[in-house]
Amino acid sequence: MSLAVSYNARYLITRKATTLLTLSGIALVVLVYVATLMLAEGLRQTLAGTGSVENAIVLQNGAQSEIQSGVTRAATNIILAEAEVARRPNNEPISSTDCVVVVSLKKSVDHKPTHATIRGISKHGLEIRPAVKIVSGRLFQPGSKEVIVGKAIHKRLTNAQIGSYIKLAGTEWPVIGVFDAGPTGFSSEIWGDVNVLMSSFKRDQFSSITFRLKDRADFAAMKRRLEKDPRLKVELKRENEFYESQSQGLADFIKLLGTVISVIFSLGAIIGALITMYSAVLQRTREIGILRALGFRAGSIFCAFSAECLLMALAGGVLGVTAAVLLSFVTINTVNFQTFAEISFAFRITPRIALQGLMFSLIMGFLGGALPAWRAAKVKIVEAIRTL
Amino acid sequence: MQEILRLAIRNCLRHRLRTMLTILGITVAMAGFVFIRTFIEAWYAGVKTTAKNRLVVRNAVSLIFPLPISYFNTITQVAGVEKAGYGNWFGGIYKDEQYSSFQQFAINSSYLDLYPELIINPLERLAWESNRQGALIGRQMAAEYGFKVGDIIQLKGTIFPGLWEFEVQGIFAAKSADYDTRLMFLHWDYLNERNRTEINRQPDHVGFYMVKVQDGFSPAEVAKAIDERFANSYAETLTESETVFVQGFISMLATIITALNIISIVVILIMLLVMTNTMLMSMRERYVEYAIMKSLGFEARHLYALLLSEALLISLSGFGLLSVIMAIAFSLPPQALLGDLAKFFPNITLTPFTVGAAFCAALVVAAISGSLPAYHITKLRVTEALRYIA
Repeated sequence: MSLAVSYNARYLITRKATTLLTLSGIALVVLVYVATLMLAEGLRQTLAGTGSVENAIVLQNGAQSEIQSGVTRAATNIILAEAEVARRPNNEPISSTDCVVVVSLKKSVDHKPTHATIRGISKHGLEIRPAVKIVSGRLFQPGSKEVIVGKAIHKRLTNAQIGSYIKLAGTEWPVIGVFDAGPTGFSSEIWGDVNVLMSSFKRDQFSSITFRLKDRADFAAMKRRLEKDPRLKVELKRENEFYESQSQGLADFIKLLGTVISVIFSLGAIIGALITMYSAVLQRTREIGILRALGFRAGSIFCAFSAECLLMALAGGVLGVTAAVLLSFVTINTVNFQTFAEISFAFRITPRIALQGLMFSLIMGFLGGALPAWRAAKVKIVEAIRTL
Repeated sequence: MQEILRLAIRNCLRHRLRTMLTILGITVAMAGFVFIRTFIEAWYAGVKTTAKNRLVVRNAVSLIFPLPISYFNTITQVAGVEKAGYGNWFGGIYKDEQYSSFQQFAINSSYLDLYPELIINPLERLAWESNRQGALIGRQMAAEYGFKVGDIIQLKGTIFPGLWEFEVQGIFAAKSADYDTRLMFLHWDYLNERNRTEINRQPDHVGFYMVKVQDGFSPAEVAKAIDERFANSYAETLTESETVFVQGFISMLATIITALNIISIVVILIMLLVMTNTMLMSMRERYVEYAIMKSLGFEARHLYALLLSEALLISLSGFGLLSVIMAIAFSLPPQALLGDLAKFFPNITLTPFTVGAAFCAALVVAAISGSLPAYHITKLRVTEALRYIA
């Protein structure tokens, strides 16, 4: 058995050109497949990382994103007075009442308009989002017309660098700091003081309220109670789950499209493997006859030829996954149609995705190799030895 | 030349299984290519139904900011404005759907006059105008959900919270098949009234104004005149033609479109790999034959023509097979073809450009995969080749 397999493996090396062409085909398919999975995963991780499981977010009943939502000041006061809200020693709730709007700004590359999320945060807005750090400049002063810009977009937008001015609601706002929120959606936002932003944009309702829970376990009961309260007309969500749901549409779309394309492409690669393997079997009919005459069973021949194709496919799979890993250094910017604003995210590889890619290559190898291997196994010994 | 073609056909038929598989491989790869290209073009389908002399007036800050209703009179007075209408994006969700698969606009009556491409029964329009909770729905939407005149459609508001009920008063069609009629028109007055009394979310504001430019006036000039009229006001406007406006929406997805373009080139590469593999294999097997042909006096160009025509025969057969499949596929309803993806693209059509691009790809692949082995053979030395064992 092992002799037969090593005989087949060596054949792959002898027929370098054909082997290389076939496994490149498989590698390309795996690359496309893994790349789309990585893209969907990168998007999911970015949005899921935006929220914390310790926090709850309140939105208007029925609203699917923060820009659609409006929560009145009266409702806000009621909610933040609840017992489940975590407090500082001076009894202030650890919360942020945010105002979120989307504004059209120009990209620095081609000066074409894109959409950026502007978020007004209140006093403890940074405290409930500990991942957010000011990396250069300083934080805005409460009550003043200043903004800080997320690290992922400050180079992509014109006038978003420290010392420049961004035009919002008819006036110029100085950029006085850059913040880094890691690989989260916040890094693609512009932040300012909520009260100043609301009066500038003539808003009288908050978009969302985020607060720290005293105890995570309180969430379900609190959600049930507040959503029933007719004065409030709000919905409660865990912050991480809410932001993750904000990428659902785009992630589903990328995955669906990627899978459909990969399946079509894989048919091409499987046919490529079939051609190569049929030819390999045909050329070696005589050798197969000799192997059979020497006492190798039909089953062993089948396994050996299947293994030959699987080995080739696996090599293609490894090549494809390796190429895909190099994509990790690429950052993608696109508009998330659920939030209507541009978001920046990277291709992310996980062990599971790498494994899926390799499995995919093996499936292609099996489908491409099984039929030719079957033909090899069925070779008639006497006739085969007589062939030239 | 004719003889060479005959020889090429014979050569193709020598390994029937391999030739068949290669043709199939080419067909599948090209189908992938056509699929992706059609997909990209479906994105731009919305642009085709726009008009350059129709202007969209919106808040300069961004589309999520509304404009006061008081602008309506001012806009209609700007020179060059023939008609105007206004509307709000409603964004309701039907039943337990996750996203709405039809768009809803709360509009005023004159808005419909801006769209002569919509075919609306005058009686139904009259009925709609006299029922504040009435709705006009597009034919595609009616067909998809089985809605009839008189049905009540209940929507859950996302921007305007609460449950909303609308009665279907009429079903309209569009003159062009490109027009997506998964569309629902509601009364802006009704929305505004409930907004003012129950929700209080910027009542007396509209999402956008639509303007029809009078013939003889330049749309760009009229757009500029409107924007100047509201310069330095509390809500500055941004006016652009409907075409530019829709293109702006598409360009938001520029990254995805670029990625798809790259992938469509990848599939051509896969096609090239499969084809080159087949051609190299055939060449190796016939090495001795080519040597004999050479010694008989066939020149390099003859052998070149032979291999090239073999490659062309295979790849063009692939294209032929693809054409048959496409003809069948595009006669089926998109749901049968795309399943869930059909939701995103209601009006999928095959364009001559896509077919032409696929044809060119077939030619290029044949040229490269035929030239590579041909180059090998022109270099071959007869004496050595005759000794070669495949």
